[in-house]
Amino acid sequence: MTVTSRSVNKPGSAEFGLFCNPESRRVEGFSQALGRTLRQHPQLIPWQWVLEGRPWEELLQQRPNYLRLESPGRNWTIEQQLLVRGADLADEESANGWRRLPAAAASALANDPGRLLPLRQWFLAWRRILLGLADWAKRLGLDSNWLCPPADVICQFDKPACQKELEKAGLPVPPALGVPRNFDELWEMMRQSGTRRIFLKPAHGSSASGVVAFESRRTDLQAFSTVSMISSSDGTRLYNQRRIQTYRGAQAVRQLVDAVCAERCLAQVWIPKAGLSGGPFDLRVVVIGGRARQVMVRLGKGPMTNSQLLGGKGEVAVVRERMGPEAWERMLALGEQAMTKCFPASLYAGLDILVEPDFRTARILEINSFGDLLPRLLHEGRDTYTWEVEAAVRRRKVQVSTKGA
Amino acid sequence: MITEHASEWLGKPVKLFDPVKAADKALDCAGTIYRLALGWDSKLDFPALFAEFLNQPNVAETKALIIGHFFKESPADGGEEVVELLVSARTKLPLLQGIFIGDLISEECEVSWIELTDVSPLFTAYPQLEHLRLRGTGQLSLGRRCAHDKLKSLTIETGGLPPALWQEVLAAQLPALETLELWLGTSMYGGDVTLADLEPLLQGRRFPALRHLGLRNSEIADQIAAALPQARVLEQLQTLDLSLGTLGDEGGQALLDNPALRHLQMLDLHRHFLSNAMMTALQKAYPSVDLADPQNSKTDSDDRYVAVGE
Repeated sequence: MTVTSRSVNKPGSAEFGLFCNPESRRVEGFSQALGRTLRQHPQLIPWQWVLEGRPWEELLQQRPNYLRLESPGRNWTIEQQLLVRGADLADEESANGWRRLPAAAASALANDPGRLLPLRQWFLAWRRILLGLADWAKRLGLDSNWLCPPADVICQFDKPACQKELEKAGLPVPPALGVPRNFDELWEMMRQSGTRRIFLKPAHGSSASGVVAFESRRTDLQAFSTVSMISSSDGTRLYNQRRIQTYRGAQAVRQLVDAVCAERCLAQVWIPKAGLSGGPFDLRVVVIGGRARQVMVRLGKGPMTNSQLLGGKGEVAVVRERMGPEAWERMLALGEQAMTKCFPASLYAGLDILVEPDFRTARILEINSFGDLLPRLLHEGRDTYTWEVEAAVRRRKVQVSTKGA
Repeated sequence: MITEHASEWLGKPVKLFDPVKAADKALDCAGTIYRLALGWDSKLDFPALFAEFLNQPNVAETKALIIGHFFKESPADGGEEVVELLVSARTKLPLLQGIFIGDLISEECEVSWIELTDVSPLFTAYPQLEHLRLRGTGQLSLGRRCAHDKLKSLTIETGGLPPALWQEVLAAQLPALETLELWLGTSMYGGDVTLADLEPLLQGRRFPALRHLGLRNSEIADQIAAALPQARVLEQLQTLDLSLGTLGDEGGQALLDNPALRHLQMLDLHRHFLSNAMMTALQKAYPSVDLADPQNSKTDSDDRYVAVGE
């Protein structure tokens, strides 16, 4: 791969270093914001260079005052390289038998969109890369330059760890049952806690990938999921599909749950969500520099509420009206507190917030490092990236002046 | 999929009964309808919540009551208890004219998993009852010989209406019944009522006061529409509601060709699979028709699904 012209930086005008897939629209959006706000280009460091061990430091013509991590997603080469890298990494939880794929098999994979590949293995490699970058920045004395430090991103890519942080801070979340290794363990957790409905969320997954909503009634079971199971010569493959599938009966549900649990999943109580006429919804709230900015209402066609599932967007004004100003402000403040208390070193994140059917009670579902991709959604005239650039500059000024004093 | 609780019923606003708030501010039992429902993490059980409501100072003014999420763990529990609680409260609710049991959204419990029981004790306990609305199935029954002189509206919302329950509706003696609304649902969830089963209602004058008929959320909507030209019941109707089902152009054409529908004040077909051309034709023939929420009209009739079928 060649580095595009966008990454050829002019000295003196490139304070921002971006670790990224240069072709992504995230980079395009952030670069535009940077150009508009500071008349600068970012210095781009492709994930591919980092993964291949190429001399990516040579791409930096100056030491960046700002370091930004961008999603490594939506690029098959990178995804595959992470899987191959992860194959040889030790897992401190290896006793749990999370699904792995040998390096040779990972190298031989063809791009098969929608296929669920071993998420734990992917995470081990992603974590290794981020820890490496954290060390590098520390060596150079750049560790206060991260817009969001690698350690926070690692935590946000590990749902049980993130849940623990939120619980420790006393913030409202759906109660967790644990990390079951299979259906039987999950069933026992549900029995012991008297929980009838749960969500099973892959610990290292993003969006609705691999998520299962599961409910029981006496001995009846049913589950909803975007995952479909397809038999192939090398066993059952899991695919994410846009349409939500319904699984009925013990056998079908057990098979699905066993398969998804092998990816390492967090089991959470399924708390009812409020609905608009189009479906149940949750809120994506982007918190930047300690303040809640963009809000998007994500409608679900079923129990999953995710904008990629074609449920569509709901009207923010309608939700705000139904909640009333007090509950709305409390919800925004909750998102801000989550960032201040749990990730004070992170400049921004996209939070998924649930509103219960009373339209008053809010709970934090997830915190997404890369949840700031909301193209063309403006808050007070600025998109998320513009807010981020401004907040980064403001924060640095404070940092520099405190250091000086 | 049912996504919202009733915000209004019988022309009155609905509010969730909050026992904590009620301690500070008296309820408006005459002007508001309260929904009694447990939260997913309620400390109270349903009988305790119900008792709290009955202890409110204005409770005797209650005109109608909505029972929402009524079970703690399994939806298999509590349906019978709800009926017993309502029956035993009859002296404290002397003005009660409307009862809605089962206002749960699918995020709380899918409609086919809401288990109701025999509600016939309510007919005896509340001779002045005018409106009964039920959502769910389970062992839901109106009793074998349902009879009530005052009941004006009966609504049963299901993901699949069991044929045995349909026979009870058909056998009911309800001389004052003006509105009958049934969600027939899908055979996937036990909704096995056939067109032949419906014939006695369509052909006769089973309910002399009937003005509004809804055969909603039905996967045999096309068949029903096609059978309507012979339906004597149309003569007494002011509104006909075939919404939320799988109605397509076949049924649409039958409605278009049916002169016996011309006198209707309202034809509700919303959430349908009609083509644009058919919608235009129906709009012209029936200016008051509701054609909102069109689904993909190119969907094969076998692949069409009803609005509420989980």
